[in-house]
Formats: sequence, C-alpha cells, structure tokens
Amino acid sequence: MFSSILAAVPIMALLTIFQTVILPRFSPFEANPSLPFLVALAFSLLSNSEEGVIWAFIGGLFMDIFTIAPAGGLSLSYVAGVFVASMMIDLLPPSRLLIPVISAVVATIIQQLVYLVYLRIFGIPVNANPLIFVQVILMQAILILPIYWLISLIKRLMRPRPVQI
Amino acid sequence: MRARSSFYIMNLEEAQKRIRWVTLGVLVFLAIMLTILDQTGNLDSVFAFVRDPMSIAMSWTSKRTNVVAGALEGPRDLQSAREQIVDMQAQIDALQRENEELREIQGEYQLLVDLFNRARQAPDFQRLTASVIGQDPSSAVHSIVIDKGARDGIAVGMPVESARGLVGQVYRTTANSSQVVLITDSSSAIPARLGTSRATGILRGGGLGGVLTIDWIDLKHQVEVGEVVLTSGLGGRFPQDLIIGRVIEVDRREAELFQQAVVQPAADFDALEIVFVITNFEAVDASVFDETGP
Repeated sequence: MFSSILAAVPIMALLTIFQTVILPRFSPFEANPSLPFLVALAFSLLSNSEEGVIWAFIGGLFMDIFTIAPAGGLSLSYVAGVFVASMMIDLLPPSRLLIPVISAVVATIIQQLVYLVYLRIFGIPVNANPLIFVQVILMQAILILPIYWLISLIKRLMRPRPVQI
Repeated sequence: MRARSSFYIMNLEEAQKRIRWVTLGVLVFLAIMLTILDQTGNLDSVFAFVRDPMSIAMSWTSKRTNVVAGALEGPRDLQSAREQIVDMQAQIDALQRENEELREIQGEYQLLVDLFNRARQAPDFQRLTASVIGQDPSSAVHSIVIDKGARDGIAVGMPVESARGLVGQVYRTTANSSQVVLITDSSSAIPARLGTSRATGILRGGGLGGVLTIDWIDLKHQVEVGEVVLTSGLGGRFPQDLIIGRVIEVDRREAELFQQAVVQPAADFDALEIVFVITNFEAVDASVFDETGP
C-alpha cells in the first residue's frame, strides 16, 4: 500500500501538468474532464477503497496548488466522489463496462456537488450551468473506460495472477 | 471450527470497514486543515515550494505543446486563409472609404484638442512580456499561469493584458511563475466606462459558460451596441482606459433603476499565449476609505 501511495505522487504531478498545460490547448470544450480524478477512481475500482481515496486526495492536492480557489476544496471533493463510488461497487453488476461507467457518473456528480457547496461556503460565486455539468459527466463517463482498462492492464503486467500447477 | 472461522471473517470485514472510514475521516480532516491553513496564508511558502519546480516543467511542456498545436493548426489555417482573403479584400475597400472620412474628422479633432490645450496623455506603462504556461485545473474558476514571477518584478495586483485587451490581474506569485485571475472569472469585478456614452458600471465575469456583463449603468445613458468598453480607473486597482471589449447587447428596462450591458471581451481567452504585465502601475489602496470612523 505504501509503495502505491509513493507512486501516486509523481503520477498525479504529471497528470496535473497534463491537465493544466496540454488539455486546455487541444480540448474544444469549455470544461475539461479531470484526469487525476478519473485515474484515482479507476485505481479505487481496481484495487481497494483506501488506496483509491488516498490517490484521490493526492490528485486533488496537486490540482489545489494550481487553482485560485481555496486549497483543500478539490482534495475534499475528489475524496468524497471516489469514496462514494467505491462504496457502491458491490451493488453494481460485475461488468468491465458498466462498473467504470456507472461509478464515473456517480463519482462525478458527488464530486461536482461537494465542490460547488464548498465554493459557495467560501463565498465564491459559481455559475452552475446545468448543460456544462452534464457535459462533464458524459465526458468523464466515456473517458473512464480507456483509463480503467489501461490501469487494469498495467496492474496485470506488474502483478500477474499466481498460477497453481 | 466453522463458527470460529466465520467469526474471524466477520472481524476482518469489520476491521476493513473501520479502516475505510478512518482513512476517509483522516483525509477529510486533512482537506479541512488545508483550507484553514490556506485561508490564513500559512500555506503560501509550502505551495510555492511545490509550484516553482512544477512551473518549470509546465513552461517546458507548454513550449512543446505550442509547437505541436501550431503544426496541427497549419493545414486548417491555410483553408480558412483563402476564404479570409476574399472577405478582407472587400473590407479593405470599405475601410479605404471610411479612412477618407476619418481624415476629415481627425483634422477637426486636432483643432479641438489644440483649442482646449488638453495635456492629458495616456501614461506610458512598462509592460513585461510573459508566456501563458497553464490554465486553472478547476473549471469553476478562471485563471492562467504565466512564466514570470516575483524574480522578474511581478507583484500581486498588477494588471495583465494581451495585445487585444485586458486579461486580468496577478493573483499570486512564486519566484518564477504567477497566477492571473481572468476578467471572465465569476469573482472578478472591475469598474468600467463605455467609450461613447461615458457611462460607468461594474464589469462582472460570468464564470463557466457565462458572459461578461456591465451592471449598474445609470438609465440616463443611452448605451449603444458596439461601444468600446474601457477600464474607468475608479477604485484604483486598474489604470484608466485599458481596452476590455465591446458592447454586444443592452438590457434596458425602464421600470428598473439601472441597465445592464453584455460585453464581448477583446482578448481571446481560448487562445491566450502571450500576455503583458503592467509592472509600473501602482494600485491605490482604497480600503482605508471603507473603514468606518469612531
């Protein structure tokens, strides 16, 4: 578990750079999907809830460093989103397609709501456009699939299943 | 034996559940502590310690990204350039006619200027060129990261503009990078003046998916679509007469005390690459006037 948390630091740092520098240059949308959040979510679905929420916290922390909103908001909302999604994993049908998609939808809704409430508490006026809200949910629900499969592949390559002879 | 093993399994599940909730509790506590420390200004040096090396990596990545983006936009630009040439030729003809008329007006204007001996000149600001190396990762707020910081003489509060118009204001700095809050951010409020009607109001950012608007414009002014929007200089945070954009819509209701105008910003916020930081403008601290006396 400790090595996984150590690995999260450089991975989330790189994803934050990607999120702030590269994604806005190529994305035609006003709101972009949050890659550190999706990676943390996929990691949570593929390993365990505790590691997932720690990844979410580290991802949110790096994002907090580069936002003008009060620090801690993105960390808190990422942790909330990933935690709720990982809690409901047992209720979902065991499908490699449905689990990530439904989890991404639920986690994004929770994350966005928590962040919205957080910003409101600190008096930051937010124009909560429902269309953009839906757009973010859809983007994250689609983008979670390649991320989920990629992390699943990496995990399988790094930790092959034990074979009994 | 079976009862004992099921007891252990139950205990294991209980323990896992407890670990899960404890982890959540600890992380939520840490996030709240982060917020408190940030709000009290105790995190600035810690975040700057992380932000500085990362901004170097961001600057490096940004340069490479610009090269790739430029290469990808090339062929599309060529097609649109041909269409633009035809449009522009027609515009040149119209502008030449307009230019002749303007020459006459300019002569009259020069006379009036001499007559009133108006010595007011726009202050010659020092501008520091900076590259945009990143955008705010949170879509709820609008800010950019530039590759110049305190080491280059940038300080919090300095106005930032692009070649086209006002972009925003420096929000915080590190040694070699700065974060600029954009005028489109929903927390932004800038005193503005309209070019023709001379009406004043407060320019507010619309945030995500929103539009720039000028509120609190007195109904006595006849605001027209197309008027240039400038900074008024009121409040002392921005210098006077920096171009912000143009009025594209006016919401005037006679039953209300004030009217509102929608503004198209002059700066293209989707394609910001180079900005200029006005380094020699000294903001006036007007907060002393807010304090009520005994």
